[in-house]
Amino acid sequence: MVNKENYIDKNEGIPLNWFEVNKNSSFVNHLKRILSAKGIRIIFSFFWSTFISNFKRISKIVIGIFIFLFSVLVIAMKLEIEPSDLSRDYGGVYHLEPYVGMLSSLGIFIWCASVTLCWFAWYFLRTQNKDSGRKNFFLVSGLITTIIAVDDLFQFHEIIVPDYFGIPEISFYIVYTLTLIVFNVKYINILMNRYFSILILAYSFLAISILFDMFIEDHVPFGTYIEDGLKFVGISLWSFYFFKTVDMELRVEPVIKH
Amino acid sequence: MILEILQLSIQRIKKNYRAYLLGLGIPSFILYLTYTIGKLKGIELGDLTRDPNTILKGHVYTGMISNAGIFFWSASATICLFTAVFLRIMKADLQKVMLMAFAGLLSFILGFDDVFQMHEKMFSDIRYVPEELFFLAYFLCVVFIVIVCFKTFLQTDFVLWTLALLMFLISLVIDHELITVNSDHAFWEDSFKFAGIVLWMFYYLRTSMNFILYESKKVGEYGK
Repeated sequence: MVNKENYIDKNEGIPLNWFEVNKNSSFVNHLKRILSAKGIRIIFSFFWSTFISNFKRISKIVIGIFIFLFSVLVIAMKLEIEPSDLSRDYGGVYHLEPYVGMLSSLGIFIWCASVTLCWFAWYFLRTQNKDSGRKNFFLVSGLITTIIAVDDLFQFHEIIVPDYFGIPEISFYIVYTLTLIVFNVKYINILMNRYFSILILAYSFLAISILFDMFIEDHVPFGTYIEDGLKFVGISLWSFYFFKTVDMELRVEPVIKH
Repeated sequence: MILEILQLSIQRIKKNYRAYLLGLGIPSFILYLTYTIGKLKGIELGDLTRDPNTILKGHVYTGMISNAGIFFWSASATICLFTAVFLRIMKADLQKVMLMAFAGLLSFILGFDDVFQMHEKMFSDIRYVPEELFFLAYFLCVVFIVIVCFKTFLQTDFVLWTLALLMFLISLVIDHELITVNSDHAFWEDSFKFAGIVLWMFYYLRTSMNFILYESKKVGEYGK
């Protein structure tokens, strides 16, 4: 668990003051100090001591990553899929121009920003061991956003589930709507902070995008662009709302301001 | 109840109109830019907005690890930029703010480069820029950040960060065929890159969390 003590202040007997930046010292002088014999000696001894003290944690992360990659390789070989098709980006596999899917990729970037913010806030509150209501709010927000983002990225609702499991796309929207209704009702007091309208706008844009996709897209010029544009604005607003909410939570201002 | 919520919403919009302008303005600007680029270059607008796999009706698994990599790049950029803003508001040590702000920007650029293949293709229409020049620029940025914030950097779990760079280096070495991999050359190159991105994200997650906890405890429980 992360706490104040874990932030390495103790220096473990190593004189880190050697690297203290003096207001008058230039960048070059600072570089010289780092590259001096004493500087290098300090860096190596510090590297070694932190490596030993964090060995368990680092090994867990590295082993976890490589187990994942190894599993991907094994699955690819079993299913007779070219492993590089899984690891390369679309552009590399299909030899596309870099602009293809530009907005979609940016959307993924922004989805991921809100996913990160929610999980980050949850992790922070967990370490503080405070107010389980708020902690759960960020946990649920993180889960919902992660599911929607992963769905958007891997097209679960568009291709995988309808094509492979025969479940129609509309059932996804129904499940999402019901989940969001429950989420909003349960956490209405936390959601109604000073940026609440941004959340409502985000919902509106995402809902209009879905309705546009279902009923209008094929009948108007630039239909695809308009639909994806509406979705993009919705995702951005969703992200912005959580940025502001997490910021307020961490600074611990009273979230509801009437 | 609904009327009350509506009134409250209007009140909030009036009070925080700048945030609303920003929240709506940035995506609108990006959309406008996309539209203009599409029109100027004569590109089908749907090609710019749709997911590439939908356009090409490819396999859903194509680019799986690359996509997961984008997720982690974005996570690193978000964590670092958010922490930089937070620390600045909390009037934290300037070196911490700088470390996080630089790292956030660099993660964003690296992620952007990864998504749009900036170092491989993006500028080839305008002017050829050798790939090595990009790598050199990134390396110099990293060195600059570390030197400027060296003392703060040493106080973090920088071993994770070093491992991330090592993974990137191995990926580059495989890419440039300095090490011969018998089969699945691209897979190994991308795998090491992915490992690097995940380690990079973990390093900044831990560092940010420690900085924020440190600051929030320094000013007292619950920031009061």
